[in-house]
Amino acid sequence: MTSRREFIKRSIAAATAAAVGIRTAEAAEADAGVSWDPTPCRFCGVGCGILVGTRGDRVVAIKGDPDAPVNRGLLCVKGYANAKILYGEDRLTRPLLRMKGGQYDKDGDFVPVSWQQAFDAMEAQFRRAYGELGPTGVGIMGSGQYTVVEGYVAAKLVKAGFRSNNIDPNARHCMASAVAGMMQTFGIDEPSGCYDDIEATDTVVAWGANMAEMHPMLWARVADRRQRNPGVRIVHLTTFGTPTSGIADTEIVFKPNTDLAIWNYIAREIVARKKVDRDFVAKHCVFATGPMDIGFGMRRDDSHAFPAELDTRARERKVKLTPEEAVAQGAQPGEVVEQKSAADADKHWLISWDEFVKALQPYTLDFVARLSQGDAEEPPEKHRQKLQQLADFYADPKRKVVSYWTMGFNQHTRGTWINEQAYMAHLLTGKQATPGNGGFSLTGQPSACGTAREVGTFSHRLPADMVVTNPKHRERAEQRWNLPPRTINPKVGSHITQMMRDLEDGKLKWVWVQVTNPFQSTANANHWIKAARDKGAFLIVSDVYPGISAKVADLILPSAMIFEKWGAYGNSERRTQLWRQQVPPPGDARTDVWQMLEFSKRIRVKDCWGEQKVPGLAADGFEPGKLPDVLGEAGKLGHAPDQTLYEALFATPGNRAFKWPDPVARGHANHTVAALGADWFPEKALFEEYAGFGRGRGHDLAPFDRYFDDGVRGLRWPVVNGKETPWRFNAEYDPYVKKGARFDFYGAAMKELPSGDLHGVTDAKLTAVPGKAKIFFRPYAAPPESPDAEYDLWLSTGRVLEHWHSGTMTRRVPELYQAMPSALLYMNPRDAEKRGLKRNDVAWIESRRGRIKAVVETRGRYRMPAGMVYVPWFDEGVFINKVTLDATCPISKQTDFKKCAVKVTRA
Amino acid sequence: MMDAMNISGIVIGIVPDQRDTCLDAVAALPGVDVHFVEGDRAVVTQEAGSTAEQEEGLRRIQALPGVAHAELVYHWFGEDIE
Repeated sequence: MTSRREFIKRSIAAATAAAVGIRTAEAAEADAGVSWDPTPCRFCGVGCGILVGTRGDRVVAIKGDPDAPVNRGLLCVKGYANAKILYGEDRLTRPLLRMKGGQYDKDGDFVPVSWQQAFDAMEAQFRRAYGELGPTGVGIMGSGQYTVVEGYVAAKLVKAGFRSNNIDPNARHCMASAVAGMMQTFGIDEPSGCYDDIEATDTVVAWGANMAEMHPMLWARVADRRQRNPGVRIVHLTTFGTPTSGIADTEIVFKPNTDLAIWNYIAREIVARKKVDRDFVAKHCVFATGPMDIGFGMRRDDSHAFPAELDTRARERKVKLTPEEAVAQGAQPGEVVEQKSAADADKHWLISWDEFVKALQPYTLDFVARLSQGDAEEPPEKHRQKLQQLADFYADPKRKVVSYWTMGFNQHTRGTWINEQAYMAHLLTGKQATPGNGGFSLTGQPSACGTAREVGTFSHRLPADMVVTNPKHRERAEQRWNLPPRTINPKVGSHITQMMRDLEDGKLKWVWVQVTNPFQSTANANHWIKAARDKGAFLIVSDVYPGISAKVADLILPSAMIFEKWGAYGNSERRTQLWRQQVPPPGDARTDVWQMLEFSKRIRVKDCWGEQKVPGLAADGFEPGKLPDVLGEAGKLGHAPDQTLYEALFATPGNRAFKWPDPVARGHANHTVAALGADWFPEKALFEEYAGFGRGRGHDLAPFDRYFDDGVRGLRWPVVNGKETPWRFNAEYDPYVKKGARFDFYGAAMKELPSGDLHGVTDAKLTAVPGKAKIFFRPYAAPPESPDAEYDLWLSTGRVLEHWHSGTMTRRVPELYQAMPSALLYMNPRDAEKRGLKRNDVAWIESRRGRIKAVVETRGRYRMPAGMVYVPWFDEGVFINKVTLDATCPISKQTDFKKCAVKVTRA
Repeated sequence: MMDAMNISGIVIGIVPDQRDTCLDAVAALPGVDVHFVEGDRAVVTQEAGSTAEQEEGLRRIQALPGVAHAELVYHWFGEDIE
């Protein structure tokens, strides 16, 4: 067995060699008879380019792609594992159905079945659930790991076919707050800048982002920038020490949630020092705020609550303000505030400059430094100096600044607010949308941007930033999809955590899980595991290995993995990257696209397009609680009642014109086509159909074939006249900026607003603010659950370098498994000692919601301040999401996995 | 900045006629392992106790006879391992 140290050294040496084009002995040996093709990496949202080496029907080698602009030939330890993830011993290769006596039985054991039998059971259960509950009784839990076309097929099947909006991705847990922040600030999703900011900036500030482990190849670029430019500074803001602190010039450890206060201190300094870019702000910005009494996205119905949960849940209805909140919100200490705005947490209104400045006044250095200090062992004066230096960096007009953030911001009960606060500081100083300047939300999944966000596999979305609640957007989607008017359901569906709650309530009875492991990744999991097994729902899990979700399923469908299908991912910098199928899937495993197309052959137009009940539906042009019968209108558009959804939505005459075989394949196969027995090319036809939504509307993708041209390694949209767009909203780079303007924040969403003050709307008359970005004031607020006498420690969860998400893939790679076999409980040595624990002891970690055991680590790579523990979530044997709290940002509905209260005791 | 394992990947350019003496000298440095050699280039890893020691180590490599240049290509800041 290789020691961890040797493994790391070998990885580093191989990465170093690849970076400079040295062919290592291993690679040279493997090269004989190997053919190479470029693809993106399977894992995180950085979107590194790799070269996949195949021999016959097997992937035999992986190397960094020296021509990939993202990673320039470098790969992290996970990148090198791309081949090995395909070949784990327990790969799923046959459909498995719970059966007793030859029949489906919820209490039966898994029995291998044919695809025919699997679809028979799915269809029967779909008809039962849809017949009983209508469109809201069925749903899909999707993924930011969907390929673009997988997400598009799933969204179209659910929204156009089933007339449900119950499709939501794990990406809800990952970057929904980033989306809401961008939509509210700019009126359009996805970042202004790109990774080239790294080589153009003077200052990198990582906020709640352990980039060294989670985005290693970007961090390598940051390190390189720092190394070559002595004036460059790196600041890392975090709630505990991580490897990202290693090359940081300054590490600021803050108390959970006080990042909200730190931003307001920075803004206050920018204003006080008269460093506002007045010209930029006057021309391109307006000021706004919203309600403060928005709750925490927890359940208001306590009927399924565990007794110990009730006190935390009570804060969903009423919050007694802490003394610090009172100062920060201009209220009385101890005031009890009813959370009246939970249902419309996203509403906001324009405020004046004077109101904005007034709101910032409480956030003095004294107040914020005292509130935010996260490491009690640090001298307070040192923490103050670091905050001042951070304000200096943002305020200095000569210094370029990029702020990077990931889950520390996005997984936050005020996630939308904190995203908006970052833009607040960047917009005040005019440091946005120019090379080296800007706020930038990094993503954790390979296509959270390209698929989940851009395709819109969310319960409220349609493609290209459109939403189901907007009648014009529905009309546009219905026209493009050749659907009768009022086919699309105008009522927002359930977000992914809500779908779990719906399962518990018996409101959701047919769920298809695709490319994700939500029963491991959703917080407060004890509830959802029980709901999946006890509530009579039919749960289908398409997966590649048996994770927790597959184990609680009723039907498991074996899926093809990344190199076993054609695909497209979109990374964090709007770069769309396509790849060809390299090898066939094993056994009976099939692509997710095939699974959905094949299932859609079993459902007919008449099954879904008659009148349907939708409890709570209320929209102009619709009878309350009902979707109309559109079969008559459908007939006029060529959709006979007996037409299948496959024919109505997917194998349309337009799509069948994209023939297979296609020269772009250059001899590569297409397993979807073969299994479908078709003569058309679904991945290309549906990519082009989807791209039609965004072209000419600021989301232009290039033609499918263009992405396969020699020398192309993905293109950053909008791609206009063949040219990609590195910086948006900036006239120098973005063709969508209106003529004559230097900047134009042209996103159209939420650009007509009422006006008011810090407490609410005072003038309901709407003011249009086209082309402007909004600078939000958002106050400090305490989290819904903080340590107390009984649960006396903060718990945070997240990833580690070696493993990705729930470990379904990376734990099958021997090197990665050996390097980090199980999740540990990282804690401060003095906290351990106080509890009679030492390194390598086994301890219980217990919250109001559940308890698990883990091995104590007091040294390790994380430096935990007193009062905080960290347990990664990749390890199903250390099932930390049984402990975490399912509170969300009330605007974005993204769960806060970074904060809840636990106690740790000797096991 | 922290008590962490600190490993770097370094590419060394070798003066062509001093290859053997150069590689011997590099390999003799504490914490340095030679992994690959191709033509006049070598890939080594260097383990150091801190960022400062790592930079000092890189300067030490650069100063060796036979080293044309040495570039730091990869950093690892992991946890301490016994």
